Amino acid sequence: MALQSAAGSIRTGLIGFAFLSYLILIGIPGRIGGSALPVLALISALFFWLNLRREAAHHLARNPEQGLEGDEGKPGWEIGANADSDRSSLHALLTARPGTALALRGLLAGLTTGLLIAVVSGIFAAAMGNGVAIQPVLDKIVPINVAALIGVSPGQIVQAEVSFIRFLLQILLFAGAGTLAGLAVSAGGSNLTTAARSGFLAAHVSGPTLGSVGRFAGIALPFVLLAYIAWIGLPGVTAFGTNEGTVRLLLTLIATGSGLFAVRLSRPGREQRIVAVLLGLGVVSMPFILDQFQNSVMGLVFIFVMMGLGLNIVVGYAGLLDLGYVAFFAIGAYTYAFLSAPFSSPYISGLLILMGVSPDSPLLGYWMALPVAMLTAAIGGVLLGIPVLRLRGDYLAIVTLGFGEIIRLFMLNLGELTNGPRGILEISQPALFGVSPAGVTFGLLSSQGWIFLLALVSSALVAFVAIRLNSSRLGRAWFAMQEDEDVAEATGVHLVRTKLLAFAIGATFAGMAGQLYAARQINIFPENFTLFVSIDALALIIVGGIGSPAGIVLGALALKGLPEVLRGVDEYRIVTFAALLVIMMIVRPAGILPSARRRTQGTDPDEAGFDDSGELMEGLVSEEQVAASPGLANGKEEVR
Amino acid sequence: MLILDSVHTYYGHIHALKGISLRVNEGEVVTLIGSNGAGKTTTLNTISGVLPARAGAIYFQDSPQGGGSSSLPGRENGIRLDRMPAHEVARLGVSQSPEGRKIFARLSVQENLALGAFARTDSDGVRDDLERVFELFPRLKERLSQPGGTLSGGEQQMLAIGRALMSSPRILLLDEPSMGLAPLLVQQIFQIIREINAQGTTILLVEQNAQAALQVADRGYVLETGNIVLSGAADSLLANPQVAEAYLGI
Repeated sequence: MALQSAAGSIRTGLIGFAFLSYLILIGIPGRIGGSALPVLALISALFFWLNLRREAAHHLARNPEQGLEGDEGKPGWEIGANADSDRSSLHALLTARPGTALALRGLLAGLTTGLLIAVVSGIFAAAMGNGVAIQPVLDKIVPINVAALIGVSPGQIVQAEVSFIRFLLQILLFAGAGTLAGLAVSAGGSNLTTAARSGFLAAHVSGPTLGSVGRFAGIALPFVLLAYIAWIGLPGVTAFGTNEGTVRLLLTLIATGSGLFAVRLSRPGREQRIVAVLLGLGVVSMPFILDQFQNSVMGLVFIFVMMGLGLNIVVGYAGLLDLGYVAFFAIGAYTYAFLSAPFSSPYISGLLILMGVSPDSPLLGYWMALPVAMLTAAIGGVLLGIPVLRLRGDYLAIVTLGFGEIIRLFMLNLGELTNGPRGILEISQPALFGVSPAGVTFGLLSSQGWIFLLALVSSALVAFVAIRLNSSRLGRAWFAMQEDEDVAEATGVHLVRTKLLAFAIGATFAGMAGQLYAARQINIFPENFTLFVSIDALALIIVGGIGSPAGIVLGALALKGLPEVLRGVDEYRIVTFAALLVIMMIVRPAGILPSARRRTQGTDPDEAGFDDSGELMEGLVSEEQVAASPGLANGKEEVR
Repeated sequence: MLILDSVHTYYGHIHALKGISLRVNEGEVVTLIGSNGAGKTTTLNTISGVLPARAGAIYFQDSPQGGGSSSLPGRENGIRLDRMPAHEVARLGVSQSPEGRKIFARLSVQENLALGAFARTDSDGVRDDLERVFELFPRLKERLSQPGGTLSGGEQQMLAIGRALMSSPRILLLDEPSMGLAPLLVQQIFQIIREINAQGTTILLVEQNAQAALQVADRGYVLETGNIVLSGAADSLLANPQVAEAYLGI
C-alpha cells in the first residue's frame, strides 16, 4: 500500500516534470525572466494540488468504507442515519494520521520534479559552460531558459559556476511546492469533499497540526528571506521587466512585513521576545546590505512609518480627521533646512544673531536641530489645534486640509524666508560625533543606508512611544474622546488639553520625520509637501489598520514601497496599485493588521450597520451617529 | 448640596429651560419627572456643564460632614457650577450617567470603569470603588475585558452607572436609567439606586417612569416645557391626582 502510493507520487512528480519541460521548451521561463524558478515551483504546486486532489477523491470513491486517511468514516449523507457515528468518529480520530500521508506524497512528488529539473538544468548549464554546442534549433531557447532556471543572465551562462546551492534551492523549492500542495489537499478536505466525512475529519484533526506548521512557517519566512537577501543575493534575478535590485527590494519589503506577522504568530512571552529581537537585528542589518536605491526606498518607507504613527495618534487614537498633516512634516523639514543649509534668509540669521549664534552655516548639526524641529512642529500642531477645537468630523477635515495648503503656500511665496520655489539646497547630512558614518564604514553603509538606519531607529523610538501612549491614561482619554466627546468631558477629561496634546504629539512625530526627509532629499522644495503627502499618510494607516502600530508599518511598506517595485510595469503601475488597494479593502476592511480595538467592531451592535464601507469613513460615521442619537447630543449643532 | 436658581438654557434660539429652580439636599434622592421634551435631560446636562446656562446660577457645596436637610448650604458659600467647564464639574464630584447609556462601546468594560475614575489620583480609593461597583454589579466583573458595546442593554446601563460611581461622586445625576429595559431589570436597577443612596451618595434622578422614580425618591419635581410646575415630597406627588393623571397613567 505504502509502496503503491509512493510509486503514485513519483509518477505525479514525473508528470509534473514533463509538464514543466514542455513549459521550458516553449520558452516560458525565459519570458518570465530570472524569477522563473519560483514561478515554476508555484505552477507545479498548483499541478500537484490538482493531482493529489483528484487522487484523493478517486481513492475515496473506490474505497468509500476506508476514506481518505484510512479511517472508517462514511460518506456525509449517511451521517444523520448512521447510529454509531460517534464510535466511528472516535475511531477515526485515533487512526487518522492527519494530513501526513498526503503531505509526504506531495513532498515525494515535488522532490522528484525538483531533482529532475535540477539535474537537467545542471547538465545543460555545464554543457554550455564547457562549450558543448547544442542543437541549432534549441540554441536560442535553451540557454535563456536554463539561465532563468539557475538564476543567471543568459550572457553569463558560459562563465556561470553552477553552484551546488542553486541546485539545492531548485530541489527545495519544488519539494516545498509539493508538500504545500499535499497539506492544502488535506486541509481543503472539508470544503472539497464535504460529502466525505473522513475528509472532514482529516481536516478537523489536522487543523492544529497545520496551524502549527503554518505558525512555524510564518515565523521562519522573514528569517529565510532576510538570510536570502543577505547571503545569496539575487544576481540576475528579474521579474516582469524589473531589474534584480527591484526584486531584492521587494523581498526586503516582504521580509520586513512578514516579520511583523511572525512576531504576532509567535507565542507571547519569551518566544515572541526572541523572535522580535532577532528580527530587529535582521532588519537593522539591512541598511548595510542593500544598495543605494533600495536603501533610499526603505528610508522613505520608514520616514512614512513615523508619519503614520504620528497621524495615527491624531486620527486613530483621538479620532480627529487631519488632512493637513503634511504641514508639520514641512515644518520639520524646513526647520532643519534653515538650520543646516548654506542658504540663510535675513530673518533667520537676524534671529540667530539676536540669540547670540553666529549665522555661519551649517548652523546646527542634525542632533542639535532635532529638538528644535520637533518643538517647532509641536507649536505648529497647537497653532492648528486651537482654532479647530470645536470642530468635528468633516468640518475638521476641511479646515486641516486648508492648513496643510497654507503652510505649503507660505513656503512657496515667502521667498525671503524660504527661497520660494527654488527651495533650499545642500542640507547637511546627519553625522555621529562630527563624522558621517556613511563615509567611514568602508563602503558598508551608503549615504542612503545611513538615512534608512536613522529612520529605522527613529521609527522604533516613535513606535515605542506610540504603543506606550496607547495604554496610558492619556490614551484612554483619547479613545473616550473619540467615542463621545460629551461623555468623556463629563467623566473629567479635559477636552482642550487632550485634543491639543494629540495634535502636538502627532505633529512632533511628523516634525522628526520631516527633518529626516530633508536630510534624505538634501534639497527640498515646496512641491515636496503637497496634499498628496497627507493623503499617503492617511491612506497608509487606513490600509494598515487604524490604531495599530504594526499595521502602520505594513501600510507604509505597501503604500510607499510597492509602487517603487512596480516601476517595472510602469504604465500599469498606478492601476495595479489601485486594484491592490481596492482588493485589500474588500478582503480586510479594517486594515491589514487591525488593532485589537477595531477588530471588536464587527460584534459591536451599535456599529453593526456600518460594517465594511463604514470603516473608511470612521470619523464621519460616528459623528452622524452621535448627531442622530437623542439625549446628550441634543443641540450639539448649536453648541458648536 | 445642589441648588439651581432660575436657570435658563437655550439651544440656539430655542428656550429650553425657562428658569428652573430646584434644590437637592445631602443624602436625598430627588427625582425630576416630566413628559418628553419637558427639559429633564437638559437640566442634567446644564448641571454637569455639558450645556451652558445662559442665565441663573447653579450652586454646589461639598460638605461631607453635614448631611441631612438641616445643614443646607447657603448660596454664598457654594461653588458656582454654571460657566465651569464640564470636566471641572466632574472633578468636583458631580457625576452624570447619561441618557441612552452612552458607554464607550469600543473600550472594554475595564477601560470604561477606569475612565470613570479618570480625574482621580488616589489609586487605593479607585480600587475600593471598583470593588464596590463589582459588589453592586457582579455581572460587570465577569465581562471585564469585553468591549462595552457587546454588553446587553441592562448590562450597559449597569456599566454606565458603575462608571459614574467610579468617580466617587458626591452627587450622582442619573438620566433615564430604566430606558429600554425589561420590567424585571427596571426593578433591579431601582433597587440598586436605593442601595447606592443608602451607601451615602446623593442622587438626582431623571425618569419617564414616574411611578418607579417617585417610589424611590424622597422628593420630586414635575417639569413641563421648561418650567417646574409642581414639587413636593414623593408621597404627596404620588397621591396628587394631577400627577397621577398626567404621568402615572392611572
